[in-house]
Amino acid sequence: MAHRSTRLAVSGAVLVCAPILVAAQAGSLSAREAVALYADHRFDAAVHSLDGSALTVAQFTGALDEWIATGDSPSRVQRRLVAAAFALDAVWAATRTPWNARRDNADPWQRVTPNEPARVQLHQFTSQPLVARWAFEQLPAPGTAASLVRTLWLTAVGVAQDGHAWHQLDREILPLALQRMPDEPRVRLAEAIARTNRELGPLREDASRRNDVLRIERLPPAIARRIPDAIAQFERLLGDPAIGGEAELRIGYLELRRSRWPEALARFDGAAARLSEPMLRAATHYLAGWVYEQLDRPEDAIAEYRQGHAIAPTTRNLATRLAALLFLDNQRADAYAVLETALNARPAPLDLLIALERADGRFVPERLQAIRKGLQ
Amino acid sequence: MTRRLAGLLAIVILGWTTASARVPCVGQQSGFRARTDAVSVVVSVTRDQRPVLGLDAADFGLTDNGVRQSVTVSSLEQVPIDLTLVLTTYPPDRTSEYRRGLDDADATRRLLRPGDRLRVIRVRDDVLGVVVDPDTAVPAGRETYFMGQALVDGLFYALAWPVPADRRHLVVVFTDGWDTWSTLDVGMLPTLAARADAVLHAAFWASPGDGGSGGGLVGVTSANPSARVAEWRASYDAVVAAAHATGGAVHRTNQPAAALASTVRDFRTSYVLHYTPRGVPLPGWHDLRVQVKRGGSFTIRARKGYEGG
Repeated sequence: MAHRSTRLAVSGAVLVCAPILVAAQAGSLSAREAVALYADHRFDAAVHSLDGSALTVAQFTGALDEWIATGDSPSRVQRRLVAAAFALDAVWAATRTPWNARRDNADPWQRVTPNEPARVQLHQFTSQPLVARWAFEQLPAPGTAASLVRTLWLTAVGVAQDGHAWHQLDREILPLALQRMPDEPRVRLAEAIARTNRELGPLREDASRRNDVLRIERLPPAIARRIPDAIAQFERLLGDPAIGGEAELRIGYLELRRSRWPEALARFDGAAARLSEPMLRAATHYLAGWVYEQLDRPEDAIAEYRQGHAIAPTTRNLATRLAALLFLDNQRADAYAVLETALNARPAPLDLLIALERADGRFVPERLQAIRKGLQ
Repeated sequence: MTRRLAGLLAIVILGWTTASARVPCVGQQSGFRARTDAVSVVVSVTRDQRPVLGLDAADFGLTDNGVRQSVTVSSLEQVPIDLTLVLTTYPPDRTSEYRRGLDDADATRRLLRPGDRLRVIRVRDDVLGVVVDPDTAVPAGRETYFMGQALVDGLFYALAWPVPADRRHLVVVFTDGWDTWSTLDVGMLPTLAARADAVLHAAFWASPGDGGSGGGLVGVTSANPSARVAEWRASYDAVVAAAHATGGAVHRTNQPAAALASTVRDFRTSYVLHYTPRGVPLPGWHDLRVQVKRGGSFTIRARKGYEGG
């Protein structure tokens, strides 16, 4: 045995306030070369050829503007579509970093069009609204509901939501989207989400702590007073079958944030009855389970967590809380199985709370796939 | 961004890849070695920091919720053990020196005997566990940055391992004791530990008493350092309480290999007291008291109680 194997794979630690390491692939192509590759339907190669840490948004979009301009007039419309799709695809890939996955729900700048494209690098999450805004400017009004342009519009909204650009969404992006898609439920929901987030802030007591763990928050009175208005924003959407369940879940979350447990549970019950999307259903059960924990009703909490866990078995906060309750209830083997599955899953899925906060950001991957298909 | 990042740990540690053996689950257990009516308690007896050997049942007194019980005694010497190492951060100024003691699998395995098992749990802002198979190298990972230390979650994972009833589980954590990233509240750790079957030993390389230069505070610029120290102390104290609740101990050491070897030796020379509770209802929490009747001054470590279901 002495000659076999042999290191326990442990290394030392150096405590540093380090520069962020990013997950972006090393770039081998310029943005202009990459978009040409994208136009040739070599999507993955194009997206991953960029080095988001070596490219500012201004350089990126400037290169795309040049690429669009090199086409003749009739081809420019198509080039704009391709460039918009590439821009959204590339910024999404560049911002999938561990740091980005754990940001809290604060709008990074608290005002409209705040960050300068010349200073923001593509891999920084603040690039998302800038690139989304640029993509919007390339797009014509959407046609039919299933059109590529419509998908591009909705993707751009999702990218901006993932970037927590609540002010910019509320003041700049969503008004444009509503002009072009006044009947689109997801844009109406996005408007309520952006407005309430803009008015309420991240609903976190301390932004320096781990942000995906549910805690009882002591909301400042000025924020707490605004919650009824925020709830009213979502109540207007309850009658829409496409988004009513999600609106109810979001109302429940606001009730949770102001520690109104019975009201929150009633909303979660209502949402669970209406929702079919797995992520939202899992989030509903997770939040309800957490509320039951606050009410010192562990059996009810276990029941809710179990339902959420059945849908999302590798989300760690839900699984860890469930495992702890099961362990204390002497359900040892179940507890360990739940814990082990979640802790050892790689890559770890986005936490349900974070996914809920990022709204339609959760649809971006599938929409990008649809866009790629549409371009072919 | 800078302000926020300044409040977060950015620590380099070797990460494991996910290619790892998974720990098999054994059957449902009903509590701390309490199988309907049988209870087993691991007891360490030392004098002058040396194990006291040769004790038998007549030498021990045990009360369960204040009621004296009749016990039998066996030695852990012949019982296979499951050793879980929980590895967190290392002292930044002695990284190489410190790691030498732990990163040699052969040295660690020499502490084990045929039939023993070794599990390693790496804790950073997430938790990853592997069972180290002597025939399989643990694949090396790469250095990555992370934002915090999910110590409580990692210790819960370590303690919750449902080992078979004919084995004993020893958990040793090497840590500064500062949790910054767990899902579970630090206050839950002693409660969870008290209900676990394992014995937990904590080897600290720093403590909040070191002041601002120690442990996880190194390199961290904080607008409110006293609040950070208070957070650190709360989790440090929770780890200490958890170790004591399981009948384990805490050590301050910069020599992890020696600490591990001595902890394993101490564990192997422990006794197991077996009894069937008499005169106490089984459900609910049971306070345990263990004493050695022989004359002399002994240090006795045993868990503080168990949940009867």
